[in-house]
Amino acid sequence: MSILTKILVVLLSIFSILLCGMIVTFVGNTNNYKAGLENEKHTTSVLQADNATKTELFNAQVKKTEELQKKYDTDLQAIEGERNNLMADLRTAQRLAQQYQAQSDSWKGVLGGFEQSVRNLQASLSQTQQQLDQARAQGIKDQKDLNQITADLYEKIVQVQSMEAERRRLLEQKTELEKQIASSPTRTAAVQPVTPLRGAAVPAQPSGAGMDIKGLVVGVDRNMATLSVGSADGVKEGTVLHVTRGDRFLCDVVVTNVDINQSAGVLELVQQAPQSGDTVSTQL
Amino acid sequence: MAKRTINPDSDIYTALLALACLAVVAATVFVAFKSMNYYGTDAIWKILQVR
Repeated sequence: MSILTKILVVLLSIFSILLCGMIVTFVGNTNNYKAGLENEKHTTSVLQADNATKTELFNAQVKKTEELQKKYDTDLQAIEGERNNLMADLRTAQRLAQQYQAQSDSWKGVLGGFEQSVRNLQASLSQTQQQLDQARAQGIKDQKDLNQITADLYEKIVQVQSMEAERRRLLEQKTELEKQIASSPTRTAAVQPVTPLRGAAVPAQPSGAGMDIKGLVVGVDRNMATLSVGSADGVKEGTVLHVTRGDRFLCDVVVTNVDINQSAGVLELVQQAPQSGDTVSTQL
Repeated sequence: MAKRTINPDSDIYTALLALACLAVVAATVFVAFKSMNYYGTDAIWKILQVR
C-alpha cells in the first residue's frame, strides 16, 4: 500500500467520521416539524373555534349593543324632550319669579308708605288723644264749675224768694199796723202777719258740689243707663255722675229721670261701654 | 507460490476503513430511525419516489 493510499484512507476515515458525526448531530437536533405542524394545525383549529365563538359572542354583543343603543337613543330623546319641557318650565318660573319680585318690591314700597302713614296717624292719634284728654279734663272742670254756679244760683234764688217772702210779710205787717193805728190810736193789738214766718234764709245745699253721691250701674241699654241711686240719695234731673271701673274712667251719665231709689240717664263722653256693677259717683 | 507478506500496517488502515464504514452505516441507520420516528414509514418512500 502506497503512502498516498494510506493518506487517503486516513483522510477518508477522518472525514467520514466527522461527517457522520455532523449528520448525527444535525439530525439529532432537528425539530419534529410534522409534530409541530400537527400542533400548529390543532392550535389553529382551536383558535379558529375560539375565534368563531368569540365572533358569535362579538355579534351577540354587537346586537345587544345596538339594541341598547336604540333604547338609549329613545331614552335620550325622551330625556331631551323632558329637559326641553323643564327648561321651558324653568324659564316660566324665572319670569314669574321676576314678576313676583317686582310685585314684592312695589308692595314693599307701598307697605313702607303705609307704615309711614300709620306712624303719622298714630302720632296724630296720640296728639288728638292728648287734646281729647285735655278737653275732657277741661269739660269735667267746666261741668264742676257749672254745677257750682248752678248751686250758687239756686242758693241765690232761694235767698231771693226768702227775701221776697220776708218783704211781703213786712208789707202785710206794715199794712196791718197802719190799720190798727187808724182804728184805735191808744191801744194796739199784736200784729199777726198773714204769711207765716219761715225763719231766716239759709243757704241751700249744693246739688252736686260738696256732696258725693255714690252708687252702681244697674243696667245699660244702648246710650241709656239705669243707676241704683235716686232722689232719696240726692240725685236730681241734670245731675252728672261719673262712671268708673276701678281707676279707669268709662263715661258720664246725665240724669234725665229720677225715682226714689233709682234713676236713669244718658251716656256722655263714652270712653268704654259701662256694664252692670260699675261704680257711679259725682266726684272722681 | 510465494506467500504474500502482509504489512501489519494494512490491518490498521483496514480497521480505519471499517470504522469509517461503520460510522457511515450507523449515521444512516440513525437518520433513518429518526426520520421514521418523526415522519413515519410512508414519508421515506415518498421521498424516494420523488427522487
